[in-house]
Amino acid sequence: MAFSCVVVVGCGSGNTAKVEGVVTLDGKPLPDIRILFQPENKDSENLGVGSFGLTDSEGKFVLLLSDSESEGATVGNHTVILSDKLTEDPEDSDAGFAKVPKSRIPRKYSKSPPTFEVKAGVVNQAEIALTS
Amino acid sequence: MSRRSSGFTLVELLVVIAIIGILVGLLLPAVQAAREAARRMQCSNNLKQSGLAILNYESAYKKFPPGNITDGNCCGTPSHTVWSVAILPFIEQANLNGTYNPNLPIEDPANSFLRQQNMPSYNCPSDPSAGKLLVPASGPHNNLQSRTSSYRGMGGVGWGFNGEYQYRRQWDSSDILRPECPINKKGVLHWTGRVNGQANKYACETFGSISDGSSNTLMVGEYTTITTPRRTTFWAYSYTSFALSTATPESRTLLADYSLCASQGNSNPCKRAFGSLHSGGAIQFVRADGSVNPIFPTIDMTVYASLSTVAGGETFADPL
Repeated sequence: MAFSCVVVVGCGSGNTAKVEGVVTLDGKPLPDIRILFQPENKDSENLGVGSFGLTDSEGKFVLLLSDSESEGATVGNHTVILSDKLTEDPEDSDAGFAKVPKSRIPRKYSKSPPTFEVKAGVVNQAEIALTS
Repeated sequence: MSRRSSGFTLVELLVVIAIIGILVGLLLPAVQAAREAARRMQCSNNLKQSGLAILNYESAYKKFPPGNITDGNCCGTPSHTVWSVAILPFIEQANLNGTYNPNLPIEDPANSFLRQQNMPSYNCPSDPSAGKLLVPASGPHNNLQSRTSSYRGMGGVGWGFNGEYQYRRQWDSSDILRPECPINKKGVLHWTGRVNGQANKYACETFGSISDGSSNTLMVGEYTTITTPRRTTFWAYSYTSFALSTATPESRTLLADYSLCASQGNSNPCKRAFGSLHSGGAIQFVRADGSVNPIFPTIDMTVYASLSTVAGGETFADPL
């Protein structure tokens, strides 16, 4: 059964597993939020690049690997970096000095980012429930 | 005498051709790999030479060269010297250095000869976008071309997560008028910004200030991009990030692909990135002790941030 999961889901490839989830703020879904999963390679065995995702209108996201844009995230512990796509610097600007619009992500989550452990062999469900 | 005329039958010919084909097929990848290994070796030798030149600069002036000097506040303000120009006399380019008029901004048309000079020792042979004339993607370039190259200085931690991500840029050369940059996050070739008419805001580093140990401090590393060529490295265009990068603890900034990085979040860390096209994405760095070692995009970001600073006070096990 476990084997068939690995085969069907394709999560046996390398050291990655699928991750999908939803970002909510006070119970309401948050669209246009960028999610970065950055592995904490403290055990030096789960070496891997980070993953990224963007929430849709229902706050849902699927993570893609940073280097190949294929689905998944490195197995192991991650720091979850959330940022607001609507308030980031415009692509063609240099690092602006102008006052940045207020991000919808409460500041406390920047000071101590959430963590998430990606498990091998399953489709990981990352429910990121923020409170303001 | 009905002997067959001597020669090869079709089958014999096909067999021979097939064997030759298999041999070539086996050989070509090995040859290509050997050629890339040689290019990478030359690439690391160039880094070594730059590292030795920086150390000779330190011997002569008792301090490391400035990462870059940009006047005033972001954006489009005049820029001055940069580490790769400051060490020219130490890589036998004193004549070229003599063409630089430091009283004018480096992007001034009067300094075009310097900016457009092709510097083979600043070009990595594995980097197809090095050694070209392009107009950089941003800054006060006045649509003048500059020469691309492959190596950028390490200015420290530019953005950081532990408590500061997104709200606090750190050692970034566009933040000149911000409150003090956190001293424990500075790199060995950090910017020494100055506000018009004043002395440099931050002093250049000395060996004494590298309390993390010179073998644990990244000094110069590779950056190229396979997309958005005008965002690659320009060795003598010192405006913000074109010859000086900073570490952002996100692995998307180590991919040698500007557009891929920028599609995943804020684009400014992507402009201050490192990356190479070597196999495995190995990014070679010369450290402050003159040794050349690679790091990989899979590096632990805590280790990467520690390696990029001179005095963070971190202790960690170097993966090498």
